[in-house]
Amino acid sequence: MHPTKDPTEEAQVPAEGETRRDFLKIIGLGTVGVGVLGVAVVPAVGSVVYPLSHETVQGSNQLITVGKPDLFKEGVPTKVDLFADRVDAWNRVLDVKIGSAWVIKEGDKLTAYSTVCPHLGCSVGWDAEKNKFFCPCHKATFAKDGKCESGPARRGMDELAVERDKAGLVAIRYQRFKQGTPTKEPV
Amino acid sequence: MATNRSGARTGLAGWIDERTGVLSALSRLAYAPLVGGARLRHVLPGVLLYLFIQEAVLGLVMSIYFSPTATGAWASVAYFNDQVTSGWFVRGLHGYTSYALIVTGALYLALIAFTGGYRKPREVYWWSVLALALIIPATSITGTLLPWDEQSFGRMAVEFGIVRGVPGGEALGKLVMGGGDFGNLTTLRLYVLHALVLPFVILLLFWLHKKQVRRHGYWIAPPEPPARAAVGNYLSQWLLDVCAVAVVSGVLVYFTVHSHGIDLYAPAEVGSQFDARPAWYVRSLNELLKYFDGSLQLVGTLVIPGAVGAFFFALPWLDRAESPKFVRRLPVVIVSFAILAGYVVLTGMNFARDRHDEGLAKSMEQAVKLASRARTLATKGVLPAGGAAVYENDPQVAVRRLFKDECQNCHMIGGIGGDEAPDFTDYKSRDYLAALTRNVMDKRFFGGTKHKGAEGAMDLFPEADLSNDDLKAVTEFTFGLMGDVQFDKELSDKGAKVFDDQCSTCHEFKPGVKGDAPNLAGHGTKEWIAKVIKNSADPMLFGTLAQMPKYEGKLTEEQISQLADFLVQQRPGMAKPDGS
Repeated sequence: MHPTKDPTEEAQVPAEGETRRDFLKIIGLGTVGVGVLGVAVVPAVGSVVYPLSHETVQGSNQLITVGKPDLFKEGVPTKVDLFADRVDAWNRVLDVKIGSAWVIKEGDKLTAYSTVCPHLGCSVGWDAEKNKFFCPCHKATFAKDGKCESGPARRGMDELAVERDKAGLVAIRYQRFKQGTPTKEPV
Repeated sequence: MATNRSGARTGLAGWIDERTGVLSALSRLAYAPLVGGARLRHVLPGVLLYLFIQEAVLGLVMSIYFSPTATGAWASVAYFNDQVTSGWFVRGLHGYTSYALIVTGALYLALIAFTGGYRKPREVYWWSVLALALIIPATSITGTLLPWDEQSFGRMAVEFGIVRGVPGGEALGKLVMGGGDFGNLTTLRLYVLHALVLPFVILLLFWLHKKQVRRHGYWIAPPEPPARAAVGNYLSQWLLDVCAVAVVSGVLVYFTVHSHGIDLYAPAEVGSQFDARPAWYVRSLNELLKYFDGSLQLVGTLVIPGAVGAFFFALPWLDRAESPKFVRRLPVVIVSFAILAGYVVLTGMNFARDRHDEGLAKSMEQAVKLASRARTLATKGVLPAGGAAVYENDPQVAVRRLFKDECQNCHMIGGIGGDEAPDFTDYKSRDYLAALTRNVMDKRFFGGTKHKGAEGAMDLFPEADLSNDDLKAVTEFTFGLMGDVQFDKELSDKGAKVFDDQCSTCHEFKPGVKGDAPNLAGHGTKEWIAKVIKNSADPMLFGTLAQMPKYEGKLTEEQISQLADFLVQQRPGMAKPDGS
């Protein structure tokens, strides 16, 4: 014996007089419901958007000691890897590679360029035969002074400041820049 | 809501509904007749569902900040709790909501048992709630094991110990742990259980339960078809549900804010003294084990809980009464409530036991202190070696490491290190100074350096040359030269005369005056030690007899200052900061 059958089949359209009261019920349901939902959703969204207002990875922009000045040969770009400590969200990581730079010595002057291509961020190499920088991804080439000679890059290679640290060793102020823009803008 | 004469929606609502049918479906659901009508006592399933959704939302956010590895779990939870915007609130509310889920589930189960809502043909309805009331605490337990703090680690050890103690539990334990010891696989397995598998099972049970409610209504199958008046609709019930949810939500927010979130203790370390206590909802099982230990342990872990589970499962058949009336069902009702009362009493006894445990209170106090220190250090970032690596951020630990790397090859402390240069155990204590004055060429002092046998080296002062009384006096005088110490003025004045006789040919003690041997003004102070570290060959210090490398430029000013502080602290009676 089946005393009840699935009552959903008997769904009814409300009578004319009931719709007003139902409307108020729906408004009440919506208001309280949204309020209750907000208790969890508002702080949850706050947590999710935390990276918009905080540096979650720190240590990518800093002065990094490279070594003695005589490390570099006159007129020939030398690639140096830059190692430093960084804080990655909950981790502190010691002495990891955070980037590389091409350094050119001309007389007493040292000039450094980030190896990150200003086009889309591939790693720029040095072509000793043609005496110019090239990016393998989209075939951009750059002169020894960093100027873009051909290819899709909208600006020259990004120069990095070369300084001396406290002990008098060569140090490079490493920085990341926006890609694809005609001017150099720090990230 | 705009409708035309035939009741179909018009405008945007009509456009949407014509294409998706969502609004019609919703309204069919809302206006479906509800057997028994909208009642406050029907709100529990709605509250349960809402709390579950809240857990899902909060849990989802936590999952994008959680590193489910043995080495990363604690640091990532500390980061979320203490640094991410409203992280403490999200995590706290997630914890308290899980408690509310457990309570609501249990309450629902008790009400069904009380009203006889498990009776034929509602067995599946009853089992769906029974299963929910078990799976929900299981989900909560797997969650408490995730942070890899002292508490979760301690609980994990006990809980897996219990699992492994039951027949076949060895394999089951290994399976859930992902091996014979706790590690990366354990965290990941518990995480997947907690965040994917068990919530999915809960969802399935919710779905099954909803089907049953729609079919049979709440609690009791009425003996005859319900009167029309007793039929309400779901819309009215939903309004009641949402109001009940608002009240529960308010209570949860109060608890969360009042306790500023939920505990996070110091990172788990093997050999930690933490006295892990079980979560409140399994306290009764913990209490049971106090009576059934040793060979009887299985009675507490398997037989009694198993019998209770079997009783509730078989309730629809055990209840042989002809009518669902309360008095007719008295036998099963009495047993059910005896079980409930037993649960409550055991839980209370367990808490009472802890309240009178002074050792527990003391160890808890220490654990809270340690937790606060670890979490403060964690804001600098934790080395990838694991949660306990957070203590490497402590300057005290860093300076020990520095001493080990830079100094320990030649200098020793407490028997560890080289003996080529002075030993720093009890450095610059009165006993140290007296022993040095007697025999500066002892291995403990400069006996291992080029000072020994060198021209201009300091004389030895055996008792024949310097009586014990004079030594005591001159020691008091040189001790007093450190400046920031308390000393016996009278004895020191006597010592000054001895110094004048025996030492002043070589040692000056007025600041800035150069002698043949180190100027003793302010010797042993932080500033003086820092000068020695920088350049011990300074004319005011050891001059040409110095052998130690210069550290100026090799170490930073800060490192030198920390090392100097560290050496000052070797003197007995000097305050050592926490953690040394």
